Amino acid sequence: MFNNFYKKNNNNDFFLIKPKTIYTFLANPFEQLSLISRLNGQLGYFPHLLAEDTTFIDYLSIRENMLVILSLAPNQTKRKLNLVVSEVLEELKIPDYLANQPFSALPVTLSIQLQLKLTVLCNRKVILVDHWLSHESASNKQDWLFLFREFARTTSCSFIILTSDVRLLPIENLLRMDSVAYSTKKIS
Amino acid sequence: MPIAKRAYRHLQSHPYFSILMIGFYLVYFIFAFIFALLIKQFSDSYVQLTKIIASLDSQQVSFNSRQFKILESITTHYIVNYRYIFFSIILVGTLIVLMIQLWLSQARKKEYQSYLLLGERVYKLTAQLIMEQLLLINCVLLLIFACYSLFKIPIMNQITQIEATSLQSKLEDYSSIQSSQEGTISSDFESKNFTRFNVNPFLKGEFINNKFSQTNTLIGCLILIMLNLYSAMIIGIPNYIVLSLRKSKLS
Repeated sequence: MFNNFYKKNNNNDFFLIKPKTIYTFLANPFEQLSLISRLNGQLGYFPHLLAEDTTFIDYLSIRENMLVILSLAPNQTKRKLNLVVSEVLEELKIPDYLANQPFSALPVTLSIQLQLKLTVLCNRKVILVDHWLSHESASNKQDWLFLFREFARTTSCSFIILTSDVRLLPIENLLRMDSVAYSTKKIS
Repeated sequence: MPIAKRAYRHLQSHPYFSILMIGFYLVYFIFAFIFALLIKQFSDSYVQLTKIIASLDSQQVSFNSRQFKILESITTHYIVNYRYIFFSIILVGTLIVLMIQLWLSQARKKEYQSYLLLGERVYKLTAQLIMEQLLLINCVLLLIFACYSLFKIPIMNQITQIEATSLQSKLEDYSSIQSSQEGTISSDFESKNFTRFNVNPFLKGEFINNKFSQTNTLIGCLILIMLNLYSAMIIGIPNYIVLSLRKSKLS
């Protein structure tokens, strides 16, 4: 019992991630896995990894991928998954012929938006943004950050952006692996 | 989304991989099957020969039973050899399957990781991998079974032919050895032109009336189940270990 208590306490103290906040995490790609595992220990589920391609199973169609993701969600919705999927597809204006193709057919913008929608439906509160953002152009980066900010404000999710660029955010919330150095500034 | 459908979709979207695997399984099972047939043929003959020897011995015609005893010893020799080859084929095949699975677990690393990050259980992912391979294996087995039941007579003739020639050649060796030792008996031996074909009527008659062929379908089912279980184990255990290692790295 003591052991259990200790573990729980330890995990809770590891990161203080507030909702509606965007953090940056200065990391090389190797540290990404250990960050994911620590977040899993803290949250009880894996954070959503927002990436261009790796999140999805390449041999399944978009619709099937969505079904798989929703059926594996930590807190399942009680509604029929098929209905939920059709609803999301309609909302993002993805036509049926596109929905039956593999994920690589989807433009990046739509893919990211779809992932954000799915994250909300899966009740995941922490979104990890992969390194793809660093390779975008400056204006695109601004657009994405704006989108994330909007999204964080409306859904109470928090973002952790994996990057090697220190000046990515105007007001940085720097998350470090050691628990002392987190910053708690909100940007919303 | 059911696991079986996921397995099917994977095979569907990687046609070259599926065809390669089918080719490998086809070659592997055909070799194993041929040697299993040879073993069965020789062991059937062995059973017949022991029966003949027993009946001749009970009639106390020791001179005749001697030739059959030579045949029997040759047959035993072949059975042991073929068994040895059969088991080494199985061993090599198993090792190759293991290597392929390890290679696959490297090649499909990203896919496994995204499944695990989505929160998929390890045993379900393993079940999907097993199902993919079992689908291919059962297709191949069905093909072999269909071919065998269509071309049963020529195949069995061919097998009997192989048995006859191999026994014949060994018998000639024996008779040449014997002729140096005992001149009189061997001349008798050759004048009778004692070959496998003289014994064949005995064996053939028994083969047709054999009760074994009636229970063939049951044995076929048993073999099918055994093969499925065996390959599920071979594929499942290493994949389960690799996946749980990956998972423990993540969490």
